[in-house]
Amino acid sequence: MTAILTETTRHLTTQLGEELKRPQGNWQRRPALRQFVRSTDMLAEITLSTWAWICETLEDGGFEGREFAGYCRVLLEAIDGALSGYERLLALAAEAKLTAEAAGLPDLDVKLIALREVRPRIAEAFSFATQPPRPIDEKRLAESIAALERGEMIDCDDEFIDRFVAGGNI
Amino acid sequence: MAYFVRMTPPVRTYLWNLSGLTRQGRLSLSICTIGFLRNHGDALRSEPSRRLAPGSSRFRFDHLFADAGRIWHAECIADDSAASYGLLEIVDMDCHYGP
Repeated sequence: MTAILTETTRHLTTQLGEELKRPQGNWQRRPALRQFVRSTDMLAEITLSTWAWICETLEDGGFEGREFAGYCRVLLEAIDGALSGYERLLALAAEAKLTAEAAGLPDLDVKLIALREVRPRIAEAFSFATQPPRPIDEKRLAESIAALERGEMIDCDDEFIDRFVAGGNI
Repeated sequence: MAYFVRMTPPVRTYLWNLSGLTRQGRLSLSICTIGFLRNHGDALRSEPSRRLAPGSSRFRFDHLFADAGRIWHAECIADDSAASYGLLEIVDMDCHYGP
């Protein structure tokens, strides 16, 4: 699930970036324009689905920090790709004498509004996940190391977890 | 390989006394942090940038999760001195919330 969503998002972002580099004249053909709209729409859809999955996973156990930051980075690139693609699409639709409706832009517009809404939240989460580590509490670490050297350790086995889940002390 | 995970009493005390988390959040923090280390210990150990210092037996790993409408970030330190016996030990944890 994770790999499919993020890899597809990454692939579509790259594809869209390449499409955006094409000479303006190539976009006079309507099928090409419609394909561009479809790609942007798909990228927006997958990006929103991936973010929804990330939010669910955060609630349901979470992520390792670097893994989480990696997903956020992919999504931010995808959103920026979709938004810049959309700006270009508006101009291209007009040049191709295609109404916004015929090009499928109104449907896309709804998704892009949602992307604009989630972007600051993803950027904030990314920034939080990539902050430099906080200073180590040397006193607590020293106590831990002393306990480690004395062999005073707590086994985090299934029994420990069962006891915790059941509401007992760990 | 899956490791057997242990934690020190100061880490357990820290987990007990950490405020602001719901019971579900505390469970998530404890169980998933242990799970990351148990199941992904090799990957975490193999990244030199996680080591507190070159050649140190201690390495950092982070756990991000949501609880009570906030994202929490647990910065953990584990010791792999006994990794050859299949043991990884959590020696520090610092958990704080963000957005």
